[in-house]
Amino acid sequence: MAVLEIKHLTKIYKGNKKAVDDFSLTVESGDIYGFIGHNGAGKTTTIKAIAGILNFNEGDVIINGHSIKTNPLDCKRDLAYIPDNPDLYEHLTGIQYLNFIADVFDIDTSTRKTQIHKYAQAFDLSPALGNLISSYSHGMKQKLALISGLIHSPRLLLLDEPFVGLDPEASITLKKIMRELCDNGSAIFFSTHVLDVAEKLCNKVAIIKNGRLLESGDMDKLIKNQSLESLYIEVEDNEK
Amino acid sequence: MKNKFWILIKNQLISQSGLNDLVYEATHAKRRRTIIFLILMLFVSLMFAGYSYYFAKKFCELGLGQVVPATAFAITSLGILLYALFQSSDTIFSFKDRDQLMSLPLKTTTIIASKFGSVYGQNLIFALIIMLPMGITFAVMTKISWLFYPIWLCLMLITPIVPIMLAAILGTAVKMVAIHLKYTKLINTILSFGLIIGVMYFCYFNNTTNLSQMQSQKIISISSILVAKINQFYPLTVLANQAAVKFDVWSLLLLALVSLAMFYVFTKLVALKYQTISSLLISSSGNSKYSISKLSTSPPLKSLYKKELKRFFSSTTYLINMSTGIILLLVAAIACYFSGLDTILKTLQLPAIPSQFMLVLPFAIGIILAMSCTAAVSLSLEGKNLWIIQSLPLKPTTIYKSKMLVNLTLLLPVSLISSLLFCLSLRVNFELNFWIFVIPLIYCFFTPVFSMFVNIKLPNFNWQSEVTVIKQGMSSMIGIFGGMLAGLIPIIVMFTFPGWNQHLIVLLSAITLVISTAILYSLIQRSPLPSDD
Repeated sequence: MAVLEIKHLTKIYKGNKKAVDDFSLTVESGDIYGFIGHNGAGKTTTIKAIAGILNFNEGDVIINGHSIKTNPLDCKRDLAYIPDNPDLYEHLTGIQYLNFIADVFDIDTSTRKTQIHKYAQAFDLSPALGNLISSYSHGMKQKLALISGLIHSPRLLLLDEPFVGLDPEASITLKKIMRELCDNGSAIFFSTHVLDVAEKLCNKVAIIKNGRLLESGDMDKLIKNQSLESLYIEVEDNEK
Repeated sequence: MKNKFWILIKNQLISQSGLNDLVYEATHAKRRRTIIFLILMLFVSLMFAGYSYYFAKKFCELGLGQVVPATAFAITSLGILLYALFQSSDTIFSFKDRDQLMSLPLKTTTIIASKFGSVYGQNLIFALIIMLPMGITFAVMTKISWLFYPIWLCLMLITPIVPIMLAAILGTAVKMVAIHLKYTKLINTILSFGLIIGVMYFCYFNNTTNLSQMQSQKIISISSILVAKINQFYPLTVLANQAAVKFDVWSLLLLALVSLAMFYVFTKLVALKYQTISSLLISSSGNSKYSISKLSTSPPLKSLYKKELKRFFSSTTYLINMSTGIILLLVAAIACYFSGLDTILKTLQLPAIPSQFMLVLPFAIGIILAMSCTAAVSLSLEGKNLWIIQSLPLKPTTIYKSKMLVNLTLLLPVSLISSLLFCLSLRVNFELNFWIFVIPLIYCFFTPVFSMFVNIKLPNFNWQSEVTVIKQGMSSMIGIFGGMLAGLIPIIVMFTFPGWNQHLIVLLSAITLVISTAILYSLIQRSPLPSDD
């Protein structure tokens, strides 16, 4: 079952620069979809357009059967988006921020307590939840943003460079959680520059260059007997 | 090799002016916004310049022309001191690119000087707006020698230095005291308010002393007494006045020397302890012993409202700038209740309001309420956090409502209490009592709606310091001045056409405000969330 369908997505910035060009892709329930490409290839723009943060010029994004253009609220209830460098409300404490997000998603008290406890323990952030976010390190903010994205058990998790800034332990925890979510029927679409992580973690991969989708599909079928790194270099070379 | 100070200044100028946005990302909307902002700034500048011209002209016509240079110097210095009180310490010590700059091979003194240069640049514009028209009017009307012009130009360039220094020292001292106490932000805010009131009281105290002494002594040479009193208020005025009126180059040089010496000593002294002070000001700590207990739930609107309220009370700059109006109103209402309006006006040396014009009072309250328009900046203040509300399942109207509600929460109680105190102290007829309650109440709704609308149309999410949004932002300016203008127009009409039915003017103004509020509210409900795209 398709959790995310991107149909002919085109995003044009000022000066007629096509950041995303006729991009189509489907993410099924249970997929961990890696999204790779060089800097400025259009990864963040695509993810932001899917999350309803950026408007786009052509095409559509369907999340769980709802269009982000016509029905953004239903789409957003099903997804969680975590940017690569999350700027959070620094005047709130960690727990106040999580409570705020839980309020917006209308999560009942016992569920939110269970979820916050579970993920805060997993990321070893519980003792710091009473502190102001302004006192957090980059990695702690990243962990808090991840917890806030997980507490409503999203059907679609959109992550932009999620492993940047995380310590090794937190990276392992995040990978476990990603697998666990997908085993329960959710889907994850995330961008990364770390090809090893993508190869080991993802069952599907998409390669983008200059806003155009160069390759996408099952990891095994695409890389065959080679590595993702070799595939990436080959695809990039073919485009030159 | 280029001087590093100028490299930093150039970099700051580019990032603060939004020049790059205009050149490299020039969409029609952005160009339009910039043009509107420039027109607005020009309008505000012309207003101030016009007032300065009028002030100087009146003084010259009264034969008090000799007072003009000293007054221009003192007013400008005081204005800069009040404006820069918290801006300068924030800009010098806790800027966002601190870590980046401190990691570069730059001398601490160069960084401090460049930050000071940035504050100086902004305040120099203010000095020019006030001093240029006053100086020219004085020179033309008193037919003074051409020598005045180059001396006045130098004075305009020198004037901002000392007040900025004092502002930075006082602002930093307040923060340093607060940082060592338990409730840092609260103490900082209270001390900051105390400082502003203290500066205002100091100036007011000196001002009343002037006039009462003048009256009692019945001195013929009023201008020399006035100059002497201004000198007493701000001793450096002696040098400025000597230079401008008597073309005393030595006084000018001495003034320049004092200003530059203060700047040099300040920069060198601060550089010694810069890391310590700056680290203290930007650091925060936590106890790391939290354990999850009972969690309360709220509907999204209430949750957003609580978040907004916390945002307001967490920032001293936000709190002080946006609550000055309501605090002034409350102080005026309490003073009026205990001393009576006539006594207050007399003490402030303002003319008594003629009974037929008492209906201006509700609009005057409205004008003061309009100064506290948090909704004019609250959306822009989302800044880099914008992605959070953009990606959450929230209707834009819920977000706007939460921001308008915070504004209403600040205005409503103050409006009701002030109206009650004014009614009790004035003992006027029922109709006037009615308007004293109703008109400010309408402003309590008009101000958040109008300012929210302005912020939706003119958001600025790409800022480095919140001062940019709160004190210098286009939305903030239009929100404050637009709201105040809405209260000023009926007053102008009443005074311009005293023969017209005053009650009818009030009624029509009230209806216009209510209709405007309703229209703007419906437009807000249909507005999508702006993006920083």
